[in-house]
Amino acid sequence: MVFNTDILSQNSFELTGNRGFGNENISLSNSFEVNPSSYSLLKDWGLSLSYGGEFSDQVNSNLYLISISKRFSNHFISLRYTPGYQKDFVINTGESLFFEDSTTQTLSSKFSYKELFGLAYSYKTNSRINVGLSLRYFTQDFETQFILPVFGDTNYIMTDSKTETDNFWKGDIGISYSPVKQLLFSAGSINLFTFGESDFSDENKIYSLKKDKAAQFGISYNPINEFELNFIYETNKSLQTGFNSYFEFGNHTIGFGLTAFHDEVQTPFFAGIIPAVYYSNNLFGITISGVKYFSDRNAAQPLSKFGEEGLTNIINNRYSFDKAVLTATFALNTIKFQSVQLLDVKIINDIYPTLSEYYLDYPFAIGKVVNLTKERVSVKPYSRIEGMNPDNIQSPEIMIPGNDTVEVKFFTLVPETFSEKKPEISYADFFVTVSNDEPDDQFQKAVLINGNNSWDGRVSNLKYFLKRDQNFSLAYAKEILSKYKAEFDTLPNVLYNFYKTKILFNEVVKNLIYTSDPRASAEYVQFPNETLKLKGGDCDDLSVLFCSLLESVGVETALVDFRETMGIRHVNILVNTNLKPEEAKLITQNDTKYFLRKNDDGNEEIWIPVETTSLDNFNNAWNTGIEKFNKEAMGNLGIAKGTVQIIDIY
Amino acid sequence: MKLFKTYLISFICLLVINGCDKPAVTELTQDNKQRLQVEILAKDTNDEYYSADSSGVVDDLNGYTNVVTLSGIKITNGSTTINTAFAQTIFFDRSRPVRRRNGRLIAYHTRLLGNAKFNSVEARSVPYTIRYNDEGTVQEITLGLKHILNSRFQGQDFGYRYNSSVAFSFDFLLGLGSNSFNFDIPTPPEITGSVRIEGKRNNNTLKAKLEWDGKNYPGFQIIVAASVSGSDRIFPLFRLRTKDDGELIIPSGLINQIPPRFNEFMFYFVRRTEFHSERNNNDFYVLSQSIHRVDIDIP
Repeated sequence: MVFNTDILSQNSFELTGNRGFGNENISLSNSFEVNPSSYSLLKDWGLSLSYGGEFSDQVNSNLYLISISKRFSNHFISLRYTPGYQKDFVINTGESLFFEDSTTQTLSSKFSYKELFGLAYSYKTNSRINVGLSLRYFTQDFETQFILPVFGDTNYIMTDSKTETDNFWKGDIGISYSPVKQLLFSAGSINLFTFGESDFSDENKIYSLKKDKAAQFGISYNPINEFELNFIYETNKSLQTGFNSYFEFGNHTIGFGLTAFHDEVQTPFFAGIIPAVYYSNNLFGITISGVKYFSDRNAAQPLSKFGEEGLTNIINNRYSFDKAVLTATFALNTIKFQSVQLLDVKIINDIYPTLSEYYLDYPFAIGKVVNLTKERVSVKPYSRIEGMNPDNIQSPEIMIPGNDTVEVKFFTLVPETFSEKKPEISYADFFVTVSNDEPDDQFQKAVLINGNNSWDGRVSNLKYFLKRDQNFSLAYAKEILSKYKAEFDTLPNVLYNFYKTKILFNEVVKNLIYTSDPRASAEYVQFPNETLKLKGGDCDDLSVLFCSLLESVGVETALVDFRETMGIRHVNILVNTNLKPEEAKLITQNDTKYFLRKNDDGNEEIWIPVETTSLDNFNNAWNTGIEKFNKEAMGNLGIAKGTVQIIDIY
Repeated sequence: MKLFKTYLISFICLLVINGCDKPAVTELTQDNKQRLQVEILAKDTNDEYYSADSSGVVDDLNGYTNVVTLSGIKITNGSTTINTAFAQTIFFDRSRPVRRRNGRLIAYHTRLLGNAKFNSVEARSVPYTIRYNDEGTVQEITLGLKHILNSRFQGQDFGYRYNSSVAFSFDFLLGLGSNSFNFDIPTPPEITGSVRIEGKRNNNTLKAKLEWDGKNYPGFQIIVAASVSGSDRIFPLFRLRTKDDGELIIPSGLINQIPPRFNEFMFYFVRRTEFHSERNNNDFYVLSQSIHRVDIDIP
């Protein structure tokens, strides 16, 4: 980049003053002057207008600019038309016509400089860095009147004119970097490249807009909340400095600012100031600003000086007049204003279809959500797993304080009809919203959906396997028990549960053998009908089978989870005989063969452990079961230590 | 939202309609450039009426009743310069106009009222004849007599000196005026100029750069005249009023537009003073000029 100190005007001059962090405020016009990386908080479409008056000997009103902007994700594009970015000069050529009637006509030249169109693009690479590019279209006309004598039947003189026009594009790039929230650095080129210029006659060449290359560097600093200091230096010996102070209440912002600017050709040192007041909300922003110069602008200036210094800025130069400008920006959002942002989502539980209702109590994912507003909002999280959830599954609402970040739990529901034979990778869509309309933000993450027989290893979750075949188990158990109708008729009612257990166990084990889990590395649990069909299973399969059969006929059961003992984890069951302690002798004379538990009414009942892998007969299974239970749960204080856990089915 | 958009579009339309003022204009001044005023002289270069005579006076004198003109003239053609002086007095009879057929005034007849003297040298009374084109026919008419002195004629050198004065006196004929009168006519400083022609006529690049010994004399002007080779008729085309600062580039448009049949240009550098003098209830318009005419052949 070439730095040239001979160009003399303020490239970064804006009619609304320097706004620094205020770039992220919709009250701004879409100005390209400060830095092409200017990044607006507009969510969708934006429309800006700057209208004002220029105070010379008279007041001229101007539509300075009209622009339209659009954001596409992190990309921001702005187009503007600037009919008021124009500066005209009239030069008395010194020539005049003298007519017969002693009247005269003075000849003049007119230089007209215009910036007509602009196109800007910026990209937010991350929360700290924006980069941008601007293209601006200029045109300059040099119209010179000259004397044209006409010789014919009657000779006379008249004036004619010739015009030289030059249209060209100017391009610049810029970058802004905010290492911390209170600090913003920016850098940009000045006249990085131009193209499309025309050749000029020597006569007009010196009056052409100066396009020397330079650079600008800016810094904005928030020393205290809602107050910022701004400074921009241009390598062409220009600078501007100022402050903005603003007050925010809810979604409303009211602020004021003052910018002073300096360049080498204007006097005094600070050639002028730009006071500005502004208001903005989510829908629109209004800025009233003015440009006040400290030197007289109405006196005629010498052309020779104009030729020496040249013109680098159309709206701020030695010849500019005081201005008052009203700038309005409208946010024409067709997309929703984003109140919260879903920063990340972590899958904490894979999906095991059989566990269904488990995911209503325990989240399968946790998201990190930030409140982008300054107000407390109620966030509704919901999710949908592709291929599993036909509808969104809403999770409980959560309140998030303004600008705070919290963790949000996502729950789900496995439909009863959902079935998955093999594990598959699917995608879960996570949404957060503060209203019932479109989500404020969403996130997608891969999630593993296991097969129907897959189990997460938690014994407590085995109950979901036994519930699944409840109807089958009921029919199967009833068919067996019906064969023993005569015996049940002679039994006292208090022994019904004990004998149901004994009969079902003895009948079922006749056809079963113990087989270890067919999948060594994955937890695999058979449903009751599968265990019967396959004529065997491991401890969890057999426990699920017997619990399912017994529960189906009204016998209360519980799973006993013997946590890892010498690397082996084991499951068997407890069966509630519904016998009172004083009725124990009806089933055993040995007080160590049962276990007392209080029911919901606080009354003790006799529970017996049954080792479901002991497949010869019920008594042996009971004996084995009580032996292991007494040793692990009671003797080793397993229940107290937590190494043995009793899990009620219901 | 719909209402908001309606208001918004209305507001924009209002601004666009009312926002069409031109921005304020800044006036820049030509601090170094010479001021130049251009006046066309010959209304018809096919009409001899608009041609110049040897008096050096290119002005239309019809507006005056009694005229005294005095010219010190240098004529340079190539390397040759000749000097002459010309003085004349004309008394127009405003009651006897001469008109074209279409009624347009050409001139007035003249009267002979007495004898005029310049530096005590009596002027000759000669017929004052003009030629003009009247509806395609060249007409010649003698308006009467006028008093002239021309230093190029032997015995008529009335001692003209630049930057000095010439004593003018007039004696009325018996019965026509009560008394004689006289007054001095100042003469402007001598002027010497040169002309450099550049470019070519056929591609409209002809440029005339004029230089002279600038003296900031207030009554300075340049006359651009042209003639056809072989003709003694000189048509003064433009009068250029500018500062007597010694330099002028004539706008190229002026000389490039001169019809090509004119192959000789004459540039009159003129310092002049003019005033009115009231004598015996007669108003005299007095014009005194210092002229350097430079003739240039245009190929």
